[in-house]
Amino acid sequence: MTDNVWNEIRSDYDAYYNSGFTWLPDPDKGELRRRWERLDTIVLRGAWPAVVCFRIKKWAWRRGLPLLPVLCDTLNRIFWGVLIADHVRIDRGLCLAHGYVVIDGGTTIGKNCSINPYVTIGLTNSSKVGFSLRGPTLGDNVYIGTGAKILGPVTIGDNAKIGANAVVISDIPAGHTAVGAPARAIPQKPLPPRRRTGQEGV
Amino acid sequence: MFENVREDFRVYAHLTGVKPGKGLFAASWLFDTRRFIAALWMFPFSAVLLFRLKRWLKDRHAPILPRLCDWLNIVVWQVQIADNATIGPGFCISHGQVTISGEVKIGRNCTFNPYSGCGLVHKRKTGHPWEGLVGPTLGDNVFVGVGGRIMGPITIGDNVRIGANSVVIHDVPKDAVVIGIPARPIDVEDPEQRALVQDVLD
Repeated sequence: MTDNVWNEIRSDYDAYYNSGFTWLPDPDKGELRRRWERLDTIVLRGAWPAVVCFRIKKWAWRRGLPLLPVLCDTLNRIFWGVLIADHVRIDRGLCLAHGYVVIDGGTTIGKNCSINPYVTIGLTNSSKVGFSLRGPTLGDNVYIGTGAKILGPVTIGDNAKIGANAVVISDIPAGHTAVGAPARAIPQKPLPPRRRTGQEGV
Repeated sequence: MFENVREDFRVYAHLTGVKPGKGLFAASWLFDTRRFIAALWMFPFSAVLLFRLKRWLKDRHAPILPRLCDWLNIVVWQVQIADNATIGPGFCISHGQVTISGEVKIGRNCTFNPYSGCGLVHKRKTGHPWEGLVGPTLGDNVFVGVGGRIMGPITIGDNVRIGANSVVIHDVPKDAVVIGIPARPIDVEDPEQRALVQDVLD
């Protein structure tokens, strides 16, 4: 959280770029055209502006500015269906693929996390753990599939993946994949990190 | 475009339950104003219209306007449909909140319920994630229940019904009913399994 907002926003953009959100660069098209297409995909079609709104909101919220946090929240709600509570802490490199995300409570999310639509990360009032305002804690590089729910004060390790429509109510160790409702953890094979090298599809 | 829209209107007009017009008003679907207004007012018929318009504009390489259609869809109906999605006539989004991304092919008379989606998987096993930009192929008369997700380069046959909150990641033969995470076809012959889903599907 020590980053400045500009760096956070920049790494969010990079996260969108790195997470395969854009099409393969077409070598037949010019550099300008390719740049425009990337901009079009990330800025105009993806929910990157929602992440920017959230960063600005947090920046204003930390400084106790009036109105601006509420305005950003409203924009997020109207345009992308993104509801992120005030106390949520999200490290740099957040990628919301399409929006429609609810993140509630005192959730902490690590670096380079990717969240797909209809995901809820929030609190629970189960008979087992009771009610706590402490939400889930997510590590770095967590990938959350569409429609997954992560509820209660659980911890999810680095590089974990949450399958589509999974309901996570227990801890998931690092490098595991959670599937099903309630979710069970499956170890995943070690894979190289997703990075754009310029050699894809060649 | 107009043939598709006529079919879409037919489906939505059936949904509204309003009686078709008589006399002059039955001359053409465009003059069937009561049902037309009902479809626009009560159901996201305009979302489908906007998508058809977007494809029409996109095929003619119009600038900005396709993106405007997208934005309207996102703001009003929370519907995101990718540029390269091919959708057959008679497409029905029953209440909005649908995400369709990637290179998806959808047949005739398909119905999508809220929070459902067609999309991509980050298939890191086969190589780089952007190689997986091909989405599912759906047959005709596919019904996707609330929160049903269809992911990856799979094929789904005709007349398939996908249960609520199921995650379809394997091919589905025609006339099947699939439920669960991951989705498996239920045995229609087995009266016990049949009874389990009968109420839900009807």
